[in-house]
Amino acid sequence: MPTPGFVQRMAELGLNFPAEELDAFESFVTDLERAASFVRKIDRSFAEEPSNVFDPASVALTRTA
Amino acid sequence: MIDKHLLTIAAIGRLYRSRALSPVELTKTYLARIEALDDKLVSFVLPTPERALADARRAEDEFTRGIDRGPMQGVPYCLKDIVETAGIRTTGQSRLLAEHVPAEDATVESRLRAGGGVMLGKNTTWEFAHGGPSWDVFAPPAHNPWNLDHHPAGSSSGSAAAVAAGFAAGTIGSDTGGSIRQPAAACGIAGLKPTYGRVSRKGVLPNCFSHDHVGPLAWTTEDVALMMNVVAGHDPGDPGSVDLPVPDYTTALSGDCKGLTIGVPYAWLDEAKTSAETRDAMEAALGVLRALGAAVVPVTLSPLLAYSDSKRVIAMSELFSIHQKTLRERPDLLGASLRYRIQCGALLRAEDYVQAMRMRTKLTTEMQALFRTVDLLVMPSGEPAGKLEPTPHAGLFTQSSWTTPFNTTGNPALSICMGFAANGLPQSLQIAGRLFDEATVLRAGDAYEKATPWRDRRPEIAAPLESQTA
Repeated sequence: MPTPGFVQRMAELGLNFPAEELDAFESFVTDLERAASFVRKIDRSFAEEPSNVFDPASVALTRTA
Repeated sequence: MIDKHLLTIAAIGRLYRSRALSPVELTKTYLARIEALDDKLVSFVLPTPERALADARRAEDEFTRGIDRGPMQGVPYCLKDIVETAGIRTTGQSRLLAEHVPAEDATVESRLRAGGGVMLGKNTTWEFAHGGPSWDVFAPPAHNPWNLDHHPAGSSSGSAAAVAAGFAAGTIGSDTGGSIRQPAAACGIAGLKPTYGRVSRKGVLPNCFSHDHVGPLAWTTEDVALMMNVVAGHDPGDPGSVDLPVPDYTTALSGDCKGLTIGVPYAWLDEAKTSAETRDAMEAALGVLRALGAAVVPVTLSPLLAYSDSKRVIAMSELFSIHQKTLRERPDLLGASLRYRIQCGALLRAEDYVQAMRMRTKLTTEMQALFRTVDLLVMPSGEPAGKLEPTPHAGLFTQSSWTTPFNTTGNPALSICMGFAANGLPQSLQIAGRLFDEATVLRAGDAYEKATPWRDRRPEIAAPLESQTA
């Protein structure tokens, strides 16, 4: 993704930007790619369903120590 | 008596109810200050003096007739300009919404109006509460009231600056990665990110649906508690809203921390390369909390970067989904900073979003398990504010943030003033608590503020108008 290949991919998606903005934009892409690589690497079961954890049951948590 | 524009919401309420202060008189004081001084601070993108005076006259009339709508009756407040207001322009600081006049109030504004509040205007923010500070958007960014050459952080920039400068008694901001707490920290005031689902987001322009929170900022924690008493509560119009009873947050303000166990994630301070000055300020604050009755223990959590990476992958995906049509059809209407950030979202893969959500679940489970052993977590909210200048493009997503973890996990977190750095800019303390236990967070913040002298100090711009130099 940090290579200019992302420019073509963006264009295919209908997203274009001036050539003079390429360097600045590439900095963001490089940073985001690093973050995305990090989350891809975590070892989670294929069957694990991502869930919204903010449900009222959370309030039932009590201090046990 | 203290200058009227420096009164807390608690004091205003007492003076109104003893007929020692008039809502119209106080509102005129704030409006005069905004008109005379806000060209320096740029904390308002749209003052609304006619609306404010109408609200103030209504409050005054109702007090005269014995009608009491609660702690915000007659209290002048303002709103971050992503909070929609019926009949009043709401731009999100974006040229895209330059002419946007909503038909309805956001729920948080409806509650403040129903509570008799006085709306002074709309506060400067970053474009769509995300990309900033920027100079190529609808309006320029706000300045820091303690030093106008410095930034007030973001994205509730103008909101925090206005309160610190004595332009309003309280304000409403939003927080997706720290956007209430970091401006509160930079401006030396109190700002609360409530638990996810506690305060309605209906009618607030979205940044990242799954991490957006709405909450109050004010000079003191006690005032934040009073505002929470008005704005918190279930709203069926917000899909993330939670239907749980809302306590009277002021009853928790005992003035001590007896029986509380406070955890300190020291590794986060190392990871964020915390300055010696900020570390010293935090150790002094921990000493105050111990003296107030708390036990302080070290704790361990996943690295800050794990929270940030999870949040940013999710946020960029959601931001792109919100703005993709504009990016394709009218990218010229968005500032470069926001445009660069959200265009990146197009490059993320479906598996990245799902995997980031899984990581969020893991991190949230870990955080809630920790809160079985401690009542609160404490750390700085941020370093003192830097110069007001464009954010460098490189390294944006590798900056360590002490505020983002609580957007990832949804826990409530408060920023309060922790003293002042050698350059005169505020230091800040962040206090986080269990889900839906804002009361304990506010209790500790209020006790700390009342045990320290920081609430007695104001920036020069907060001086009375008659003593201001040109």
